[in-house]
Amino acid sequence: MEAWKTVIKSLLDHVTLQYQAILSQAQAIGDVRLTNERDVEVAGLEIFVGFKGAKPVPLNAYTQSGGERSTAIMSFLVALQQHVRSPFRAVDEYDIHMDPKNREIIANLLISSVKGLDAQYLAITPSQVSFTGKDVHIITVQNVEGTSIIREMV
Amino acid sequence: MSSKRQRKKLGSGHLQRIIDLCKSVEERGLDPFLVEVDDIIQVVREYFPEWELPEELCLDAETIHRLASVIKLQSDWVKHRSTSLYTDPFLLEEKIRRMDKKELASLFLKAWHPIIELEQISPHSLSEAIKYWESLLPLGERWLKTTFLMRETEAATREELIQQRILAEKAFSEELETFWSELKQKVGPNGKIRYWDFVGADTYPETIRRAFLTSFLVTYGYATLEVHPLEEEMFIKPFEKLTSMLGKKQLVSIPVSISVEEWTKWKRGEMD
Repeated sequence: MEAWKTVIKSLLDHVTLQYQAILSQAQAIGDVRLTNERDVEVAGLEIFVGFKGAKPVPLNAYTQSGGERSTAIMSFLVALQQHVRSPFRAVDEYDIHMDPKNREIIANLLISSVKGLDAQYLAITPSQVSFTGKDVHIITVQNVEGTSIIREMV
Repeated sequence: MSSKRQRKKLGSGHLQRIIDLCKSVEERGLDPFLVEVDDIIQVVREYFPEWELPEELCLDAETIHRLASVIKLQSDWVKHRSTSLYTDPFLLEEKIRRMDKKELASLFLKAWHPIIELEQISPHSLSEAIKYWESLLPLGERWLKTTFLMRETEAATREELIQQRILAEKAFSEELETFWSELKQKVGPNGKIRYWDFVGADTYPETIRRAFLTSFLVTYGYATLEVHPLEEEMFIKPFEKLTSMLGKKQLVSIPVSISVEEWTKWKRGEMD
């Protein structure tokens, strides 16, 4: 139990620092806290976030806007994925309701998070794409009168 | 002499405790790995040269016998664990197939640890999911439908995708920087400009686009708004440098109406 606590706290310290660094790019502050740490079965994480000068409050369905929630969750996910060794990651419609500025910040983060790694990131989005860089491979799929038109950017 | 007797007494006491420990593991079904075999052999070996009398040698033999029983228990434990960990996949599949649906669902719930559940799993979202599930066509019919879907693949250039607005021509932050420079050039000597004088454009859609970009300039620390409620006037003041909002007091949202009527009034110069 003590060993578990030590490992999880050390991991959380690193993830929190990265989460805060990512959030600062979106003009936000936040924190990640361990809850019920005395019992592994009921232990959990609570994500805190505060946008536009607001104090960090728990992430929930009522306080933040949809875009703010997506931004906070993606910031946490990217921070957490720095500690994941999987060579293949995928996110679907991760930028729904995000404003264009945050969409761009998160898109750049997805690219930078696999930079230098032998890994691929598959990002599916219905939004206008703002990914840039030579390592980005763009494929579009559009349903035109019952026909799926698949186009690959050359 | 007396020290030899004392050592023998100590040794026989030690062996008796080992026998009791082994007995309790055997009789009470305790974890056989509680017995440290190596340590015990060390103790038995240490006292063995002292034993001379038949009862002393019998005690030594009984210790070894009890220890052998515990080692057998350890061996059985390992054998049992190694076989129970391996389950035939066909047997497993058969077991799952024969399971009651309710039992299967409750096992799934027990084993399920969703990472994010607050938003996705609520009574409302669950009932929506059930509605969606029930409205789905049976698999067979769904496949029939998809066979009519056509698929075409082709290449596209960056320019084509920009034209179709699938790809952004330039990064949004670049667009904001350009807009910020324009604002800085347009402000008067007092370092500010009237909101409508900056946002207003020849067409209404362009006015909307400029108002949209202005809201980002203000929210993300490129500029601020100066509101004079009594005079009903609003000015935009660009910052010289990008200002971080972190750690500052909470921003206040100011709603600004950009209706066609107001745009028309501004075009006619009725806002001066």
